[in-house]
Amino acid sequence: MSDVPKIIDFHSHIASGMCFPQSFQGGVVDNMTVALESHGLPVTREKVARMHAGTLTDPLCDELVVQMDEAGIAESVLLLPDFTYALKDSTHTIEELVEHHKKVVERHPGRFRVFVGVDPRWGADGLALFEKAIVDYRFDGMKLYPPCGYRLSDDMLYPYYEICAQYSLPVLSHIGATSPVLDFEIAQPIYVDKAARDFPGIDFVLAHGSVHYPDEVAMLCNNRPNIYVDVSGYEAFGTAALNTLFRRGINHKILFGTDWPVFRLQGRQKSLVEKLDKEGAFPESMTDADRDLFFYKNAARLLGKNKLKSAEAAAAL
Amino acid sequence: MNKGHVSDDEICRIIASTIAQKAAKKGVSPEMSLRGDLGVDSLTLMSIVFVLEEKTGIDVFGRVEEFVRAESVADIIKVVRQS
Ligand SMILES: [Zn+2]
Repeated sequence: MSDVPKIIDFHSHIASGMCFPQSFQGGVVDNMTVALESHGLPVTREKVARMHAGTLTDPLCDELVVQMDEAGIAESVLLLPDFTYALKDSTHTIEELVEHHKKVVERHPGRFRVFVGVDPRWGADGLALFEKAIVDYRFDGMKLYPPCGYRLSDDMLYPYYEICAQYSLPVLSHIGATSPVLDFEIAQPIYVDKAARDFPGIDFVLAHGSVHYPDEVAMLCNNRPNIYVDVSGYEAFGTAALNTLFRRGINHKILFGTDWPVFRLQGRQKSLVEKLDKEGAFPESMTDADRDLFFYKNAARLLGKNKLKSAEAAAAL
Repeated sequence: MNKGHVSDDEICRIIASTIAQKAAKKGVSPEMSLRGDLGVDSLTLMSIVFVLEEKTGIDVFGRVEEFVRAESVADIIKVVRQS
C-alpha cells in the first residue's frame, strides 16, 4: 500500500503489568475464566491469568511501534490512568509511571503523546505532579478513570481542569464498565456535562462511546460543542455499532482508537484497522473527508490546540 | 495422544472444533489466517490453546508469548511443534 493513511490512535496504553495492578487484571481474568469455563473448556484461572499476562510484554513500546508502522499509524496517544489511589496493590507509584511514560516518549521521538491521569484525591501533591507532567514533560492532556471512585464533574477535578483550560488540553475519560474490581455506576457519560459546560475551552473525549452508552454519548456529542467520542472497544462488540455512530451527524466528533494492548489477542494493530472496512464499519453515505476526520484530522485538531507546544513551535521559528 | 505424533491435520481439526461453525465449514488449513479467515477473537484464541494443551500435552505456559503473536494456523502448528 503506497497511500497508507497517517492514522492517529487516540486510545492506547503501555503494555506492561506496571500500568495495570494485579487486582485490576484479576478482575478481567475472572470474566474470561467464567466465559471459558461455561463453554466446558479445560481451564483454570491461573492459566487464563498467564495467557492474559502474555499480552503485557512491551513496556518500552518497541513492539507497538513495529505494529503501528505496519498499520499506518503515525502517532498513538498513550493514556496513563492512575489506579494507584483506588487499587493498593499497584507495584509502582504514579510518579514512577509518569517517569516511565516520559522515557517511552523519548525513546520513540514523534510517535507518542501522553495523557496523564492523577487521582484527584491525592491532593496538592497530585496536582503538582500533574502540572509538572504537563508543563515540564509536555504531556498532551489528561486521562480520567471515574470507576476508581469519582465523577467527571466532581469539584476535586476543577483545579486540574483549570490547568487544562489554561493550556487548551483535552481531557479523555473512560466511560462505563471495566474490570469488576472497580465501580461501574459512577462512570456514566452524563456526569461530564457540568464540567463540559463550565469549561467550554476544554475538549472532553468519552472513551468507548460507540459501545458503552452509545445513545447518551451521541446525544452529548450532538449538543455540547466540546464533547467528543473515541471508538475503542469496537474490536470486541462488532463494527455494526460503529456504522450506526457514523450516521448520527457527528463525524467531526469521532476519534479512532484501538485500546492497545487490550485487544492484542484479537490480532495485530494492522488487522484491527483493516477489520473496520472488512466488517462494514463505514456506511456508504460516509465521505472520504469524514473518514479522514475519523482516522486523524479530528485528533490532530484537538492535539493541535496545545498552547505550550504552539508557543514552543513559534519560538523555534 | 503423544505430542510427537500429532499431525498438522489433527491440529487443524482441533482448531476447527473450537472456532465458529460457519468458519469451520470451509475447512481449516495451515495457510489460513486466524482472524481474517477464521474469525478468531480473544476468547477463541484462548480456547484453541487450552484444547491443544489438553489434547496434545503441550506446555502452554512456556509458550504464551508465541501464542499471543500467532497470526496463522501455521504459526500455531509451529508453536506446538516447538513445545
Ligand atoms: Zn483503555
